[in-house]
Amino acid sequence: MVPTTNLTDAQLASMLAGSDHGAEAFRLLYDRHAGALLAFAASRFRNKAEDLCQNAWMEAFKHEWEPADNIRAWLFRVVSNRGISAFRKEHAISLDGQAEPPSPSIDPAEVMMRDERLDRLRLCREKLQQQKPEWFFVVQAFLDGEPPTSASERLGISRANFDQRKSRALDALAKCAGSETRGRDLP
Amino acid sequence: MLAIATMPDDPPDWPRWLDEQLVGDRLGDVVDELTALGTARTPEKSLTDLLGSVRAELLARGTVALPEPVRRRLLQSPGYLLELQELVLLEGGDYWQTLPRPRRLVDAIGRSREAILAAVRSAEPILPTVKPARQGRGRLRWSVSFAAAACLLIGGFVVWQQTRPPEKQSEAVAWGWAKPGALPPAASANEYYAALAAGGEQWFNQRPDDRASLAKRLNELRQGCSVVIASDHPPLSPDQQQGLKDRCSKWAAQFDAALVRLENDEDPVAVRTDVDAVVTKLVAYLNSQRQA
Repeated sequence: MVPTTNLTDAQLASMLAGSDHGAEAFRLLYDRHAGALLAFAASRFRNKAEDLCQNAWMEAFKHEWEPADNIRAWLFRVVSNRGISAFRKEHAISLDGQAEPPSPSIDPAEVMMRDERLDRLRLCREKLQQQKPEWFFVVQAFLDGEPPTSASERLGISRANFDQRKSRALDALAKCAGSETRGRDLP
Repeated sequence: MLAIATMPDDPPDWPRWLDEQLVGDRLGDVVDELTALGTARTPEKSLTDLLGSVRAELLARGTVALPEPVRRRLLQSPGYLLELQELVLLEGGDYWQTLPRPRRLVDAIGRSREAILAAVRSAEPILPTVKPARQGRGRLRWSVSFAAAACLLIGGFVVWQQTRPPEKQSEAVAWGWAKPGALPPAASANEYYAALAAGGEQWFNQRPDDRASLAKRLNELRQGCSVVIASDHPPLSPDQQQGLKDRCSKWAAQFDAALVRLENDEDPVAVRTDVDAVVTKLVAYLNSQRQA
C-alpha cells in the first residue's frame, strides 16, 4: 500500500518499519501532527518546545505502534512528561546543591506560572493601578471579557476613550514587563 | 508586545481570536497575562462541566459556539485555557485545521523536520555495530526496524528533495552540527567532543553584520543545537549524553533569545557579539570535556 493523506494514523504507523514506504508514511504523520504538537508544547514549555517535539518525534519513529494507539495523544504525553521532568530537574536543587527527588504533589502548570515574567507582570499591574487608575479599570474590564460598550457606559467614558485608554495601558504594561529594571515606573 | 494586546476591540471578533490562540504558540503567554493582569479566578468546576452540552459544537465550530458567559468565564479563569487547548488539538474537527498558524510556528515546524531527518541520517552508521547475538529480541527488533525506517526515511528524503519544486527547496546547512556527518558515531569520546567543538567554532567562519544574513546564520546554529539534542551520541556515556543535551538546550534558548532580539530590531552587531560569547563558552565547555 502506498502512503497517502487518506490513510489513517494506524495505517501509516504500520508502515514505519519493514515497509518500502516508511519514510513517506513518517513524513505524512509528521505533517499531520507536527503543528498541533508544537502548539501544545510551546504553550507549556516555551523555549524547550522545539527540542521536546523533536525528541518525541524521534521516539515515535522508534516506537512499536499498535493499531489502537492514538498517535497524537501519545506525542502529547511524551512531550508533557519530558517537559515536566526537565522542569523538575532544573528546579529541584536544594540549598546544599544536591538534587532533590521530584515531588509528586507538584502541579507543573502552576509551578510554571510562577516564573519571573509573571512576577514582573503582577508588579506592573500594581503600578498601573497606583499610577494610572483610569487606565487600570479599563484594562480590567477588557480582560474580564466585558463588552466595551457596556464597560465604557459603566465607567462613564466614550467608547473611543475606552479603546484609547486600553491601548495605552497595554502598551505601558508591555514596556513595563519588558523592562530589565524591576520596579521601574510605568512609561 | 503582550499576547493579549492582539485581542480585537470588538466582541464579535473575540471567538475567532481565541480560537487562533488555542492553535497557536502563545497560549502560555495569554494565560500568564490574564492570570497576572486580570482578575483571575480559580476554576469552580471542570472544563467538561463548564462546556456541558455545547462541547461537540465547540469541537466542530470553535468558541463561537459557546454561550457568551461561558466564553467570558474562560478569560476570567485562564486555568481552563490550556486544558481547552489540549481538547481542541486532540479532538477538534476540520474547522480547527483551517485556522491560520503563526509564522513562527510554521518556521519551527519546517526547521524541526530538517533537524529530525538530519538526526536520523547521523544515527544510521550506529546500527551495524549492534551485535545480534548479544541483544535481547526486543532490542534487535527495534534496531532492525529503526535501521530499515532510517534508510527508508533517508531514501524518501532524497526523493523528496529531488522531486519537489526547486523554489521550495531549503538549503542544507553546510557547517556546524547540522552539517550531515558532523557527529562521527564511531569516534572515541574525546574525538567526539573535539568534533563538536570544531563544529561550534565554525560559527566564527562567517561574520555577517546585516540583520537578514545574521538571522540565517543564527538559525543554522540553532538548527545544529536541535540536531545535537535529538541525536543519540553513541561515543558518550549516558551521563555525558544527557549532560550534552542539557547544555545544548540552554544554548538553544540563548540562540532563540538572540533571534528574538534581531527580530525586534536590535543592533545585529551587538546581537552577534553576544552570540559570540555564548559560542566561545560552549566551545570551551566541549574542549574541557575532552580533556577530562
